[in-house]
Formats: sequence, structure tokens, C-alpha cells
Amino acid sequence: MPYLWITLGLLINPVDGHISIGAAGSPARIRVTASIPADLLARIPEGPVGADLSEKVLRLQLLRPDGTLGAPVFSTYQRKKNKLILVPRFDLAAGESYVITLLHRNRPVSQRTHRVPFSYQGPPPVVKGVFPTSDKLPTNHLKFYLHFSRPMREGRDIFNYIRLRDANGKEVADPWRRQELWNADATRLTLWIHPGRVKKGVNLRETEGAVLLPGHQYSLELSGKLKGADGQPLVAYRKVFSTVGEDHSRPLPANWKLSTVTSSSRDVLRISFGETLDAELALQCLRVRDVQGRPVQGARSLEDHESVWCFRPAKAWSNRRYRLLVGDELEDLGGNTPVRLFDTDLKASQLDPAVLELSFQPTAGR
Amino acid sequence: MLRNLAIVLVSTFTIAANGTLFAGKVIDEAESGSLNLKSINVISFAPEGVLLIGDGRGGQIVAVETGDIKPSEGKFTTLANVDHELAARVGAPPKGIEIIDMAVNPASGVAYIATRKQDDKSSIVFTVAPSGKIGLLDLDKARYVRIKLATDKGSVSLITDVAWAGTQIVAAARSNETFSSKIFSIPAPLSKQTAGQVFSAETYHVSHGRWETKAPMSALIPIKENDVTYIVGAFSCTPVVKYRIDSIKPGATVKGSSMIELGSGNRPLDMFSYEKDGKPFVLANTFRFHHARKPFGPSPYWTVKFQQSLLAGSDAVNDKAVRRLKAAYQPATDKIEMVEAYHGVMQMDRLGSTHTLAVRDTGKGLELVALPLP
Repeated sequence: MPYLWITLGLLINPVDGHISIGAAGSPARIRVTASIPADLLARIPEGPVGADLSEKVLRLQLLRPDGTLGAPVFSTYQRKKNKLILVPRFDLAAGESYVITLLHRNRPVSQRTHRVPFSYQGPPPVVKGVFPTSDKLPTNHLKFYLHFSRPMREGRDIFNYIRLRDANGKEVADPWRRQELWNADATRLTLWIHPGRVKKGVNLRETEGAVLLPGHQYSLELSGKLKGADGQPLVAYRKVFSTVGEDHSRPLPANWKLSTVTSSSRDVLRISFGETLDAELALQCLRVRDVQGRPVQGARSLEDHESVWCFRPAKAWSNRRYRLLVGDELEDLGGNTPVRLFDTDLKASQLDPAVLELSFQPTAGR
Repeated sequence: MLRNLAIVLVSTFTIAANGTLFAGKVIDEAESGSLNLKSINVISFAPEGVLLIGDGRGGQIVAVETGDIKPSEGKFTTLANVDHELAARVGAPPKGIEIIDMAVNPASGVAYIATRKQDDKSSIVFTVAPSGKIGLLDLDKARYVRIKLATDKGSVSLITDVAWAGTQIVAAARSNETFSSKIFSIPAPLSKQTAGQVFSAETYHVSHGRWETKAPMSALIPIKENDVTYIVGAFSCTPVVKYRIDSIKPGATVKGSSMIELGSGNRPLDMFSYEKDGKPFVLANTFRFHHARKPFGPSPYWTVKFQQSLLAGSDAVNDKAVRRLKAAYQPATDKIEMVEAYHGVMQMDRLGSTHTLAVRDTGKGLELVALPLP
């Protein structure tokens, strides 16, 4: 227990020394100032000082639960007159204690402890929503988008805390592709059912079977062991859904229904797909252009379990034709796109080309 | 217009191990400053001490001149609880960081360990010298070239591997939403003008000669056969597929031939080629997500060694690809073998010509350990 010995050492050999700790905005960001023993001043240059020399004089260390100290925390050091200033390179951790030691000839002469209190950044994280929102999914459904109210803690263990159970409560074994796909601020996780158990003719599906069976009910469960980035447990969540048959047809824009909009208005354009499509791709892949090909700005949203795409233009519709461009990476829930089936059968005849552009003209206003 | 590019494999040739085949100038003109990384998904080394960082959230590859080009003294001894040791150096408890990837700088023999600090998501790259000294790579003051990976459709959100291939850098990346994987070719030497010459191709896999689907690549390495450079990619569940590097052209559809099937239920993590007793081999470690129900060993992390000659030829491909296992999980060939001494290896890279440096889960904790090449 080195920390105990250091404290006893100070009692036996007290030497003048002084450490002060300043917090720069939070207890996790500290600035330590220590008085350098007079006989060391000549050895420590003014200005920035390298860690190899500085750590022999002043060090900040994590205090472990067993009483031992971690190696010196990476810090920048600077000498100003007779003071040595230590600033940790990274924010210290909430809930942890640290020991700051001033040494002289390898013996501790002064010591302070510093504790960073737990500080959660707000209420516990919750699941804001799971897409698809429908409770009827195709048996070859591929992925869920899990939206969280706060940035979440990432890590390879997260899949241990996301479970799929059947109607009897029995856990479906190994359903997920264990690859973390977070958005930029870790508030959305794309959770893939393992495609190897969805794809036809692939070993994994042949040996393990499909994850979802037709005509069954399942619950997707997120445990409180998932944590926000600040360490707070997630409020547990459950989504219940049932399965219908597999979807092996392409989403074809030629079959969509467009609502009418009136010129000189900002009517919402609604496009009914006739089926639920992938929420994120539906928002990304449909673009409105004016007759000159210029992008039309507006707000996009989805309705009716992501089967209807809505667009309210930023400015009133003109009386001229508009184009709706559809990206060929748009997917339905089975991973089929307008140009390609998820499982392409090389022995089947080629698919008819898909129409990827629709046009519409606002009706005359009153 | 998509072009299907067949892989043409010549039946008589010489295969050489990766080692010295991919020398070349990496960076022409670097800039100085902060790397401004949004994430680190993968790291690997090019020559001249250049560290390649795959930053998926930033949609970029960043090549860093580490300046670490002098061979280090000493030999690695096992560093127990390596995650605890690294975490303490940034003031974090053991679970306060996660080790993302590890690469050994062949110029110096120093290990670089990329981590994520869990509370504030900082990217931190530690260096561990053979002497055991732990340092930090300064990501705020570096000399580097930044290459954005633009695609005409969708965005890159995860880079699954990056490798130096002599005249170019090759990277596999995927988007968050679509089940697609692109392989990017970045010509070297790198400079600010490089971004305009980057192009990508979609990768596909065919099963049973009939079902064709898009296929994201987990790990890749370049190899040479008869002076032709190929990219060998490993996919989940676990075909090992080969593509000619010159097949990666703008708008191309790259369909490789499966040469080896390592078995379903596994995701390959790291891969490298090496020579032993004059013969070339490939070593690949994987994560077995079936481990709890169908274990291959004491750990879900297991490693396989196969003869590089299995990647040659045009007959034993796809449905005739060489399989590691036959019925009842029995070995089907002695040319592909599980390496028991490597059970638990989560990250690994070649350490010189005789060893592997690995982050290994012993069951009691993580260690940084040098293991003889099998």
C-alpha cells in the first residue's frame, strides 16, 4: 500500500512544501501549482519542462480502490519562478480520487488528494424512439435505428445488453451483427440483425437458421446496463412486434402515389410508398428539384410508420413542374432497393429498370 | 456504367510474402497542426514511420508522420493489465478507456495503441516501446496529410481496415445506414492534391454460385503474385476473397472469388502475411459471436494460420473454396490451422520477422504480449 507508506513518510520526515490545486471550470480540469524545493531550482529550467524530469518532482496519480497508485498521469509542466505548474493532458474522471505528490530526492515532501465528484449531465438517458415504428415487420427485416435522448457510452459490450426474445420470453441466440454503427454524437445506433442469417445460401443462415420466423411475436429489449456517456444507466426499453412474410420485392417509385399541392402555397407534398421504407434512407434519398434542376429547400418528415414521405417547401410552390429524384440506395425493410434485390438471384432474368424520377405540377391556386 | 471485373488467376507463379514488397514514398507534402479526429476505427503503418488512421466519423484517412524511425532497443516483455496501465496514464479507471486497435511501427518496433476515452470520447493513441515505456502520440501537434473519403452516394461512417500497398493506400469503409461496403484507393505519395484522385468500388460476394449480395469487408491486406498486387479481404462468416488492386476503379463493381472459407459465426479482425521457414503464411484473428453456444476454444477470440498458396489458382474458388472445417467441426485440411497459443488475441500485428505483438484477453485481464509467429 504505497499511499499509506507515503503518508507515514511525511510524518517521519516533514519538509516544507506547498501544493495548491485550482479548478479551471470543473473539478475534472485542474491546475496544480507546487513550490519547488530551493536546491532543485537550478535543475529545472524556466518555461515548459519535460515530463521525464518533472515527474521526478511533481506527479498526479490515480488512487485505485485497493489503495495503490497508478503511474503518473500524462500532464504538461511549466516552471514559473519557483513554482512548478502541472496541468493534466485530459479531463480527470468523475467519481475518482487522485493523489498529488511533491518529491524531493525521491522522497515525498508534500501531498494532496483531489476527488472529482460524480456529475451527471442531466436526467438518465431514455430511448426516444426505435425505427421502424411499425409493429409488423417482414421476416427478413434487417435493421433497427435506436434513438437516444443523450450521447451514449460506446463499446463492444453494448450488444450484450440488447436482447431479442420470442413470445415465450426465450432469448433468440446471437441475433446481431456485432459492429457498432453510431451517428456522429452517439445518439443513434444502427442495430443490424446479422445479415448472414438473412441472406440466402450463406453458411450462417444454413447452419443457424433465420433470426426471425414468420407469424411470430418478438420483443426487442434494451437493458439499463447500457449507459449514457456520463455513466448514467439507460431507462430500460422494450418494443414488441410480430412478423409477416419475407419481402423480396423492390420499392418502385412508379407505384408511389403523390398528393396534390397548390401553387402559391406551402402545401405539404405527401408521397405514399405503399409500404414502410427504411426511415433514415427515406429522409436522405428523396430530393425535390425545380424545373431548372435547382434543389428545393424544405422540411422533410415521415408519417404513418414511415410509409409516407412529407415535404413542406421553405417557399411557396410555383406553378411550374417539379422533379422528385429518388436515390437508388433507398431501401425497404428487407434491404431491397429500386434497382436491386437484397439477394440477387443470378439465375433469374434481369429486373426491369426502375423509374428513379417522378414529376409533379402544383395545381392552380384560387 | 458498372463494369464487372473478373479476377484472372494464373496457375503457375511465385508468391512472395508481404514483407519488403511494398516499399515506396508515402507522403510528399504534409501540413502541421491538429489532426481534428472525430473517431479512430483502425490504425496501421506505412513505411517511414507513417501511421495511417481510419476515422469513420470524420469520413477520412489521416496519414501521420510520427518521426519514429529509429529502431528501438530492448525486447517486449509481457505487460499485464495493459488497459489498466494505459487508463491510469490519462487518469481514468480501467473501464474508462477502450482499446480500439493496435499496430507496430516496423521502422522502430514501437507499438501504437489507439483507444477511446469513454466519458468524453477523446481519441488517444498511446505508444509502448519494447522497453515498456508508455508515451502519447500528440494528436494536436502533428505533421499529416488528411484524405477525405467522398462518395457520390451515402456517406462513410465506419472504416473497417486501412493498408499500405506500395503505390497506394487501400481502405475498406461502410456507411451507417446502407448494407454496402466500398473499397477506396488513395494514390501515393500523399499531398493536399490527393483527395481529388480517390475513388471507390462496391464489393460483392456470391454464394453457391447463385446468390449475390453486397458484402462489407472486415480486414484486408495486399499481397503480390507474379508482380501483380491483389487485395485479400476477409468478410464476416468468413470467406477470404481476393481482388486485383487494379480492379478498384471509379464506379466499378468488384466481385471477388472466395478462396478460403474459415467457417460461419466469426468476424475477422486483423490479418497479416509473414514468412516461416521460407514459406509464406497469413495469420488472421477473429471474433466468434457464437462462442457461448459453439465455442472453438476458451475465448471468443481465436486465430487461424493458413498457407498463402491457398490464395492462388482459379479452380478451388467460391463453392469449391478450401474449407477449414468439415462435418462435426473437424479440420478439413492441414493447410489451415487454428493457433491455440493465440487464443484470446483481440488485436495483433507483426513484430519483426519472428513475432506477433498482441493484446490478449487471458480471462483474468488484458495483456500486451509478444508471441512467436506460428
